[in-house]
Amino acid sequence: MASNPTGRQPGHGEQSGVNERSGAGEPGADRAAPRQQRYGPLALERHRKADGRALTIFSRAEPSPQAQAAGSSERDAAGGSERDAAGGREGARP
Amino acid sequence: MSELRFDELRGEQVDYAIHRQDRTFLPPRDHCPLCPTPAGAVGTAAETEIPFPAFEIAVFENRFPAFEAPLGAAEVVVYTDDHDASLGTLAPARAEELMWVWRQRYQQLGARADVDYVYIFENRGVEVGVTLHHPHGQIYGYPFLPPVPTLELAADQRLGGCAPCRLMQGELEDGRRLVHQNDAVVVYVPFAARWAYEAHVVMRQHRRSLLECDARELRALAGALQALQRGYDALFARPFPYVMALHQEPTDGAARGGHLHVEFYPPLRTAEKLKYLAGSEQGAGAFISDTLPEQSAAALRDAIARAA
Repeated sequence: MASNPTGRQPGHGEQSGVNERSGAGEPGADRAAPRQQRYGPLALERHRKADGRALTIFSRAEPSPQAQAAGSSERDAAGGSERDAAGGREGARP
Repeated sequence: MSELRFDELRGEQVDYAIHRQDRTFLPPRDHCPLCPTPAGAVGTAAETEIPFPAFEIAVFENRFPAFEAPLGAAEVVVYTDDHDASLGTLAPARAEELMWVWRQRYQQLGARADVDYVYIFENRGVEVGVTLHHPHGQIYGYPFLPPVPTLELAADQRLGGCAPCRLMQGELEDGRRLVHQNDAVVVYVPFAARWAYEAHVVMRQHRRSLLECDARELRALAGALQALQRGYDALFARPFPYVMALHQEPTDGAARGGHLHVEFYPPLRTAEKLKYLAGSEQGAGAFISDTLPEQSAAALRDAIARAA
């Protein structure tokens, strides 16, 4: 089978990487202490709503070291920080 | 939980999400569920979907999902905490952030085994069925490959290569239907547009998905989308309704191709008249258009220039 552009993995549910809180899925579990990640120029705060639904807040962050190092060629620096956080499961390229 | 049924006559999946009958429908402004939650109101009846007094961009799982795990996904993408903004009026930096958000969601949802196609879209205006006016889009993670992307892949086969690449090249050579371009993106009314002011926003280079776009291209894509939307609003001096659809490579593991482009389907054919999908379109699948794409493109080109 050909590769998947997004690094598809078996099983259901979102692969948010090793940073996902162990309490995710429990209603209200992530309300007090959101999980923070980086993605390209963005900072992500992962929350869990009271009814268990996922909520992510995105905001502008300072450029990542990878993006700065990549200069004008930022393509792979984009998802690099999150790919690393996910243990290489994300960020696969076609 | 939704139920999928296969229509053998048309060879298409139909999704039954009957819980959506009860979804929030055009609430008054002070009950908008996509606005920030006022300070001190978290945990009260005034708490909205986003329990913060301010935010930049928020993504959450739809309370009334058309698809949900283990058979797909449905998310809401709120572009801003400003109830009166739009894609076109966002600050350029915010619009650029939105491209990164879409990219991240494509990557995350596409990695799921139950998501075969990540579809990012926006419905704008009550004319296309919007139920919340706050600027937002949606993402469906289909557990199957939908008909339109399937047709686009078939066009690749028919044309012997990437269809959007070939069609864009033809539009660049012809020139009459071009409405906007920058160093990474070309915008045109397609040769065989179905809608009077349909427009396609196409990456100049062959990029199968947002994952293949670098920061410069994402910035250019945001700029082109904003220019087009501002032009739409200037065309008839009114908020311009549309359906905006991002088409990218499927994520079902087959990796058959795709070319990132964004299609806009506006239902207005004049300032006051809507194009309805009626007998020919619904019963025979054949679009009848009242306008020539070349004329629409000229008007849209002027409108984009006025709005710049």
